[in-house]
Amino acid sequence: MRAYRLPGEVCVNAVRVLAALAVALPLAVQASSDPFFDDIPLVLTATRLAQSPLDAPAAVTVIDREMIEASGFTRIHDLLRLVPGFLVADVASGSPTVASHGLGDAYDRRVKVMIDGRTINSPLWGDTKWDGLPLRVDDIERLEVVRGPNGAAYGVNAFQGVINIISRSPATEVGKAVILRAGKDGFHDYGVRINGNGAGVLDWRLSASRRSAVNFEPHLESRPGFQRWHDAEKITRTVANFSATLHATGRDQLALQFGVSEGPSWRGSPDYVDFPSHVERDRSLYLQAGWVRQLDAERSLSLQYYHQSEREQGRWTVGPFVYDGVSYRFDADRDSEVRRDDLELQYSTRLSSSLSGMLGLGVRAERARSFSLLGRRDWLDATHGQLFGNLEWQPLAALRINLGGTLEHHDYSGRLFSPRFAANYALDDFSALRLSAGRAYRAPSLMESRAFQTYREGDVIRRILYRAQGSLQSERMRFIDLGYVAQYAPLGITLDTRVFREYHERFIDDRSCRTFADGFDFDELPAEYREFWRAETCAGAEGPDFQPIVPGQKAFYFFNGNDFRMTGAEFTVDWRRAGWGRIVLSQAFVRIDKGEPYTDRDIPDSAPHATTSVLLIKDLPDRWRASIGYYRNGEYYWMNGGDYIPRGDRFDLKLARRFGGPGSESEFSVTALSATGKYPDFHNGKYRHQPFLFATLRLGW
Amino acid sequence: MNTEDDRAPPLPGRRRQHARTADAVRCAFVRMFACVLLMLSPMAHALDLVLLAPGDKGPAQQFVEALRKATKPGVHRVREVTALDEVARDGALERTDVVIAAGRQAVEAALRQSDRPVFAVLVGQRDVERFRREFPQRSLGAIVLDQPVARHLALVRAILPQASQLGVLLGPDSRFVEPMINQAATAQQLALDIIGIADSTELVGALQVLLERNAALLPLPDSLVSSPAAARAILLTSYRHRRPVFAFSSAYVSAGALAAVFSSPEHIAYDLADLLNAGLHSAEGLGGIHHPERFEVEVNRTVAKALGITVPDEQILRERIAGGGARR
Repeated sequence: MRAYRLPGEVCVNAVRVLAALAVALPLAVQASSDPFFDDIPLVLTATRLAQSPLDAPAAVTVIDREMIEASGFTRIHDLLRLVPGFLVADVASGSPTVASHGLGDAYDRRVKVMIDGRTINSPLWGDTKWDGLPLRVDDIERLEVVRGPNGAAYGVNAFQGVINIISRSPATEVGKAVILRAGKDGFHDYGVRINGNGAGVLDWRLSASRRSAVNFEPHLESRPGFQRWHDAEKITRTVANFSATLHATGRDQLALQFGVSEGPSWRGSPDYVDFPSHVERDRSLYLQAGWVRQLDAERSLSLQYYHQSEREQGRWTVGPFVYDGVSYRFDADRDSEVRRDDLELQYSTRLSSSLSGMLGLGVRAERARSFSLLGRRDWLDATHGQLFGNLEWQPLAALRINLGGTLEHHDYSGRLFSPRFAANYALDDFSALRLSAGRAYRAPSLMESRAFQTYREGDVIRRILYRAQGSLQSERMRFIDLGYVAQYAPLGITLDTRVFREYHERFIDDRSCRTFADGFDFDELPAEYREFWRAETCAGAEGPDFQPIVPGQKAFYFFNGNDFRMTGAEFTVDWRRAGWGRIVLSQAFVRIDKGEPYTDRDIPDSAPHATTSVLLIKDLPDRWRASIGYYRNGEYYWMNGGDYIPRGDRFDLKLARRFGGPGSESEFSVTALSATGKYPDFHNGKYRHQPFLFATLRLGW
Repeated sequence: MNTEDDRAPPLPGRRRQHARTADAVRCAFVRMFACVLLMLSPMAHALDLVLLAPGDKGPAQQFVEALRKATKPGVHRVREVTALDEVARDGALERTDVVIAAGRQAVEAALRQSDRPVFAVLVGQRDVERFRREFPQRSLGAIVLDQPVARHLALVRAILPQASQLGVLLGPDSRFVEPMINQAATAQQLALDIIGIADSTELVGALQVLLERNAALLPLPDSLVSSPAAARAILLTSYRHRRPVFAFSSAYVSAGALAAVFSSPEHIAYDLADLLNAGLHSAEGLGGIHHPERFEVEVNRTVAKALGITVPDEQILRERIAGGGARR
């Protein structure tokens, strides 16, 4: 196994290198200091600004710093509760998960997640390890969430949404800060942030924190004739990240980031034979370097490279399983390791007064290794190439037409092209209509296409849990979206509404099949289910190593299932008034048809018919601020390992007071998340999420 | 100014001698005629001006080129130099009525290397006042680059008519503006929230306060507030608070400010030409500190769109600002 350098060591060396670079640079930018004629680096360029919703070719929700702080959330995925149509769940047996308009399960592989342009979805499951992000809420400037597919801009897997997490620029902070959070059930979250500026050209920040929380206490599922204690979960994570931006010249910017997240998770249930109490350890690392040359206000060239790796380790013993009076126990684990290297070049330009464009290409190499999940000890490699572009044409002052597309080649899904057409028509200076349509894909993850998860005794396979079989095709979606956006700045109101329809094809689902040793004689089975089991037999030979303790045990496999149609509407009203506060109200209404062939009853039920979120921020005298978050969902199902979630309401409360000198971010606050108590999460029968009550002290100097 | 290349090539043999004699006669005649003209014409009150503009490109040269176009020929004698040595060598500096110095370094050179009255252009008001303190015996006038503060406020009012309060960020070089801007704000019925910072460590804290409390931010020209590092912090923090920044230079607008009112070197040249063409009779006429009459307004439409602010056309903005009588 590759030995990683200690993060601290890497950090110190990087600081030294950057500091040396900063000192070595000609300091012309600050030497002459003529306020009227000195060049100023282009800061708020079209690529750095969030595109105006009036012009954007897709529906975008921005969760800004004010909302982040007011929400009281200390984990990034919780912020998505503020995005219309998004569902969020903690899963006691693994990483939290999110879903956009349903179709969610424990692995949120239909929503692409990026941090500062770096894709963080795992190559193995395609999901996001929300608890293992090497970034904390305190590090985030804003979230820009594309609601709906956007394969044309972000490529394959930008399927039901794209979450862009944008970290705080070190230039916007100063000095040092300590953040202390402590609360009920042993919750604590301590962090430190150190910001610096070298020679006026190097902005840097070091952020480190440690958070520990009990998400789930053991829950007793009790009904007549059945009682079982379900999984508990406690998570501790230590996170450190370093970010530096070197303004090498007025036009060139070099950025370097690296970080690590590491820590144990206590999961399982003492009396659950498949998932007993145990400890897992997760670690993720990343290194990202980028160069941007701002050729002028509308032309830029950027080059980005990143490397990231994730490692999960967890071992336990399952059993006893008793068959024919014999008791069996097996060693199980979730050991896996994934790595990704990605290089991307992008050029944006204005071609004429009415035409602008962007062109880029990227290559990505992914590796995964997990004996317990993939059934092989070597690395599984996959490479991808990507060519993407966008043309924006403004034939009339009021009309903006956007054509975009991404062509890519995936090792395990072939060549795919995701196009999009969008037209934005300005009704006046404050409002616009948007029509967009296109096609998007989701390529199967490595697990979906190559899974072979087993229980073994030595080299002998005693049970198969997940087993890929046959070739999977990419999920495909055609979509059409009609939106109305208004920004009445003088009144402080922003309105974002849309209706959409998505046609999903080749939805990748899982279902069970029965496993038998090669050459198994079905005549040994009782006659009443002999033919039934034969029909359910997993495809393909299992090999001589497979010697099941019982014939006909179920394994899961992935297949291309339903075609179905999703229809929905959603809106957000954001009103703010300086000195009073702000209200952000979002609602989403979704309906999923059963589709053809009807293979999974959970699909139409996977989205609540209505979800609502309200964030109220009230400025109070003497630097006090109160905020209330209200979240309501209709009943729905999490698919696969999840289950029914009843209609629910959740209230979050935060009361904060700033102190210290003018402009100081020093603050004391009290926060209650889910103030009404425990709530069913991911699986109504199994899990009750703990509420959080904690106090926060942030001291800056 | 003639150079070797401008002279006629030498003539061969005897013809060369005849040519020399003819040249001498012609020259004497021209000199006599010129003396008569000088005695009879209005040029009797013309000034000898030295225009000191170092460098061969940049704002100073833009200024020189514009001044050439803008000044009426023959009203004053203007000698363009890039260094004072050029006039000091032939003794012309003693006859110079005023040295017009373009840029901070030129002004300093003119004050140190000559004893003639100096008129400064392409400099900030703060620099001119510093020079006046440093050279109290010298006559120093200027057209400064600083806009009248009322003009900045008029731009804010023209773009954000409903804004009730504006945040103003001052640095060590711009603190002196405070009384003037308070006075101008009263006329515009605009409340001001002014914070002055002494060093860069106070910047982010001041920004937090100003951007939380006010509809917009106006940083005024200052070596601290205008540094590239400070501009980055100002623009990024303002964008986080979704508040527009009003500025004082074209570069600031390109970098991400919403809008700016400023005067280009050409504007300053035409303002100076107005003074010169008006028939200036002595150096005293160039004694005061003047704000530019001409100005430009620039808007960053990308930022306006991102902030959801509808900004009128630049021409309309100029007209609204010029309501006070300034020229565009």
